[in-house]
Amino acid sequence: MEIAVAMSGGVDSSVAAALLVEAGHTVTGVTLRLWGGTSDSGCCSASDVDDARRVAQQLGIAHHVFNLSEEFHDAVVQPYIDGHAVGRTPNPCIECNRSIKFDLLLDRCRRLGFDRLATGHHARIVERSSAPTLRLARGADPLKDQSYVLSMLPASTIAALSLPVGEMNKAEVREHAVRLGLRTAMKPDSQDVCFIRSDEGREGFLGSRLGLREGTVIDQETRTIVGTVPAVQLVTLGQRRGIGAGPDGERRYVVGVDLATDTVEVAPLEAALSATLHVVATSVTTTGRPLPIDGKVIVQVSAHGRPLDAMLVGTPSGFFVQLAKPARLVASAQTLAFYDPLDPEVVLGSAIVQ
Amino acid sequence: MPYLDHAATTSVRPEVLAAVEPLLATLYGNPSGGHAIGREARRVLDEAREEIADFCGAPAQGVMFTSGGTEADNWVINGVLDASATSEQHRIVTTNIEHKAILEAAHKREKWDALVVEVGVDGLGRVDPHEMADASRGATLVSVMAANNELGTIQDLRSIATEVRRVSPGTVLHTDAVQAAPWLDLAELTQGFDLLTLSSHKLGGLKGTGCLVSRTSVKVAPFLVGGGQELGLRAGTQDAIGAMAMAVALRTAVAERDEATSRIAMLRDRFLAELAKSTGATSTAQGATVLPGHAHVVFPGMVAEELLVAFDRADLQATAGSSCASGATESSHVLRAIGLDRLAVRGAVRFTLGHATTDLDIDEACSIIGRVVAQLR
Repeated sequence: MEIAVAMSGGVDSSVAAALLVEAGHTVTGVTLRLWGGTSDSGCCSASDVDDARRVAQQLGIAHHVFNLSEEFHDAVVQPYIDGHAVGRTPNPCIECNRSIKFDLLLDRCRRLGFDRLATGHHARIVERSSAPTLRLARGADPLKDQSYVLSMLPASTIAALSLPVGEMNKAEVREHAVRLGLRTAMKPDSQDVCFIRSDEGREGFLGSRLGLREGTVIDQETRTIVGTVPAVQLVTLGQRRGIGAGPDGERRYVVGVDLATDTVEVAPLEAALSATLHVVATSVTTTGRPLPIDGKVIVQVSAHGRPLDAMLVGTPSGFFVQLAKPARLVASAQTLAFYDPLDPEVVLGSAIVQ
Repeated sequence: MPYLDHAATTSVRPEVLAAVEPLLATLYGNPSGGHAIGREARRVLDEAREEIADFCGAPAQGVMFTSGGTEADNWVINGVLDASATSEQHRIVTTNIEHKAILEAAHKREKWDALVVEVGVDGLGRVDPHEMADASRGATLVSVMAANNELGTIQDLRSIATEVRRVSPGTVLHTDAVQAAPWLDLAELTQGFDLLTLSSHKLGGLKGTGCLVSRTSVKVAPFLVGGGQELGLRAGTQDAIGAMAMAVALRTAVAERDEATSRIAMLRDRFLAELAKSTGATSTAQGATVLPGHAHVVFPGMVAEELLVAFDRADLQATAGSSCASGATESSHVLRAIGLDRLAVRGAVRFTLGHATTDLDIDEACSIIGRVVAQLR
């Protein structure tokens, strides 16, 4: 097959490309230039492109760089900034996968005549007997599983994907890279958001674009002011860090953020738990089969969050998620990934929290 | 396998290869060495200097070898300003379609002692000599490229020199003639100019050699210091073989110029006509006087980045113009300057023919392009 591999310059996509070459496919490496600004992590810096190019040379495959920085800015960076301005915290990796990697890039690869697009994600495409036969599943390495950030992909995209490292654990991936002498073998995993430099952090990045405001922290029960936070737009529901303890010495959690009044409400843990998650009806995606409305699912609320038992409770406009046990509040615009309780590795679909 | 990226770089001419090969093993002397081995390298270097000077209408001592066109451009900006004693702010006048080597070197001086004026161009990339002259009053340096690297548009250097000299006789005049050199008579082209930049590999020589040529007695301050080997102005052991290769490349280009110019221009025109017919591609600089090898086109509604990968997969090499360090295509300041709209810029591709381009190359290129465009649409 003719396969394009999205090479970020990291070890996973390097080995993905290597495995496909070893399997006898005609492979072409593609690196996306996504961020015009300065960056020190992820798939954006010139040195990452350099690493990808060198690995492609070592593997004897062609390598191209696509500049999708304008599209990335419009589809990922700006919505990230705008979201924070109104108290929503979208997941930029998911938005990039949705709009850039598995939309624009996949589309381009199809038109260029590639049969498949491969990436270095730790997730698998598994076969089942009923339609759709190809399904997205968790990666073999539970610590590195990235099925969450792919959970919004439709069946047609899953059928066009190849995820070669999904069957391996991270140690095996690195061993393979070492065996081939790839320069990315010992490169640290990318952390955090690729367009935010580690020395500026979220505060620095959003601060220079948004103008962060100080917020007043109010105890939900007593309605008294108990402190301040330096940047109210960066506070998320369920957050504990930086909030401190109450007069009883117990930790306090964020249970409400109001950007109109720049106030943050805090309460003890019990009040920061909820068993109900409302979703944006238009955000619901499936990987090919209808979601089991009024049936059981497993839900995951963050990239490496614990899988939670839940029900999708039908409503006239769609459904809400009823967790079997209350869990920490989930911030608005976060993605929920749904898994099949009868086939718990397999992704059913996704939705965005209201 | 048609290679149509000759303006980026071109293949080494056979004459250059033949001249260089035997010397690689023997001509290792340091031209500054006071012994027979050094003297021999010095002789080769000085002969190359004389020959290049001659083609440029410059005195022999006017050719200062550099590592390439980029260094020569950087040197001009810094060397001319540093040599010009003024207590006031320098004024550098250039165009907004210059090579980045001029633009960035000039703007860098703004931090210290210069004001940079970028004169605009028309929709085909031509600067108006009168506008240039108006902006040049009292300028320390005026730099205008002889022909643009992306579009191939040739400037009216003669009128620019006349007009600028009329209003500002003390201004130093420089032209980056890197793209023009394979095709135009340099001595005639740069009449009235003080300085010109050349690059060897664009002529079919070797990468790593270029020169700054001074046709007049204009003062240029040293750029690289630490030994002053090159005429006391540029430190570093000279590359006699590189210099010789450049002289041979230029000599060969000049000898073949008349024949190559008409042959390549005809091929290019046929190429553009066939492309227009089969794909609807439009020629960006249509109507301007353009270098014979340049075919800058817009494929309406298409994305150059995609086209270039598809061309590459079909063994045809071209470019979208400028690339950044990562290899990604960047939006071109030249296309912005001529007012090309955003969508057209996205579909802009530069094909450049060179001395080695054949009829067969053009036949193959036309067929690949027709096929790829149909597939991507």
